[in-house]
Amino acid sequence: METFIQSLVSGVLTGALYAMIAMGLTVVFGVMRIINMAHGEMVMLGMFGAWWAQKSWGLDPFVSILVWTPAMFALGLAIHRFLLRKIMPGGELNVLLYTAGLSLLIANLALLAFSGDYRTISLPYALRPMRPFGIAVPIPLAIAFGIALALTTALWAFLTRTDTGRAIRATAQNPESAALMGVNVPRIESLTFALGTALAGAAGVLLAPSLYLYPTVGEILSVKCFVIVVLGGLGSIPGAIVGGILLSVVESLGAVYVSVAWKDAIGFVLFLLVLLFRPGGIWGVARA
Amino acid sequence: MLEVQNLSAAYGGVTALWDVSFRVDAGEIVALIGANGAGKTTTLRALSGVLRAAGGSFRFHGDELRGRPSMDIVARGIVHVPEARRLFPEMSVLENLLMGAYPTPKPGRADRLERVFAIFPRLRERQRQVAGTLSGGEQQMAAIGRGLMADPKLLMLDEPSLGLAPLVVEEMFRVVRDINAAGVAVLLVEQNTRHALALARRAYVLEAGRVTLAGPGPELLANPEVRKAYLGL
Repeated sequence: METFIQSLVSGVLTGALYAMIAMGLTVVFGVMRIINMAHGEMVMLGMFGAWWAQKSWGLDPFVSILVWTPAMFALGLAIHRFLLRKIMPGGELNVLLYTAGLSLLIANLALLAFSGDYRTISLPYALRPMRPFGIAVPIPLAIAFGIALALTTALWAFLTRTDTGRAIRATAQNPESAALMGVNVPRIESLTFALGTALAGAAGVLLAPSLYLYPTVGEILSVKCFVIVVLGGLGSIPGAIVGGILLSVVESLGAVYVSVAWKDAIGFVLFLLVLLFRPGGIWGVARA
Repeated sequence: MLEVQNLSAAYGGVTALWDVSFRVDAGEIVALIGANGAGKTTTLRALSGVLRAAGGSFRFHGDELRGRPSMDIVARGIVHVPEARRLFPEMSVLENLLMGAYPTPKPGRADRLERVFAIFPRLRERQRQVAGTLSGGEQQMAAIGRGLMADPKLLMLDEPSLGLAPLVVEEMFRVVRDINAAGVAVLLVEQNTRHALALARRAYVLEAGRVTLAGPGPELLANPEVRKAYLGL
């Protein structure tokens, strides 16, 4: 029983970070109808950002989020402005291939810059876990969970309580009606892409102390992210949150009760089952 | 107030509007009538800027607006309530109404919201409900209410009676008259020719992308050609 609760807890903690990455992908899909294959690389950049900040500036990775979130936001604006905006009129398939190319480019530039070594970030406070109710909770993961929760809440408040946030949701639900309301749709698209990139980057910073860093880590993260988004329903933010936590919990339980080696495979089996029986996602909202 | 001259527009390479000219004066209700595919909706889409007009001009209070983006056009008070309502289906009624107020400054929104709720008490009851689950009549109310939240000088209504039960249609036309009486000019696109002509000060008949007849509403209602083609008499 204790093992079960232990793996449930660590599943939920990691799940909040998965959810944050997936929210970025799903918001971008909702508004722009593009699937950003380079989303995982944005997470990777955030991870290396955190590592770099500690190595070069002696900054705590969790403090460096204050630097990297705006930096990734700016990178998102630039990618949209100089790359995506030109290719988007070419159609969905072109954009898909284009972002896939972008993903390879970023990963390989990172290989060139950082080499393929596996790295870790060591933190003095990571050595001993907290033990509330006898359950071991790694402190970096707990901090990351707290920050992810705060950022998610802030994002939700932004999307539901501000004019600009509502305009983002309106554009996702009906772009032409949004334009009729006076929404500057191209500006909203660029803002949304930047927001998605910033979310991925911030999640990368938060994950960095808990994962191995290597330049191609984005690949597996992208794939997991697609699984989550399909689980929760493409374009749905609550779906991304539920899907993220679900995938992470399944992985965590699978690692304990089946085998650590099969951890990733179990997530994909879940994915295939959902695709087979509920192709519109768990909540079954198949949308055009 | 609105002067449309020789407006033309196309979808892809297919011309949908050839040569459309009409005007709407302050305080008027003007109807555009015509069969399916005559270009009524295309005209409104061109005027609201979601479809780029290929030629001609339209001026609002003397300013040329052709080629301007929707956001500029809405900001001047030309508000398009689209056909089939096109609400934001996953937002609540209240959020839909607030989206309508997007181009307007925050002070004043609460007053307009009260006015919309006074016109459509049903929307007040349903304000927390998700718009996609409203009945057809309620969705139409929400769509018109959303248009009113933008503080229109000219409200362009596309088929407000479409798909509504006869009693609700009567109600909808009464509301249009009330909105107009409050000083908002209305450009009404309708398939319900009889109602539209009875309500409109002036009307234009569109056929295959051209204006073929124009005149005061009651006069067109008596016109034998109109009676034959659109009223089935």
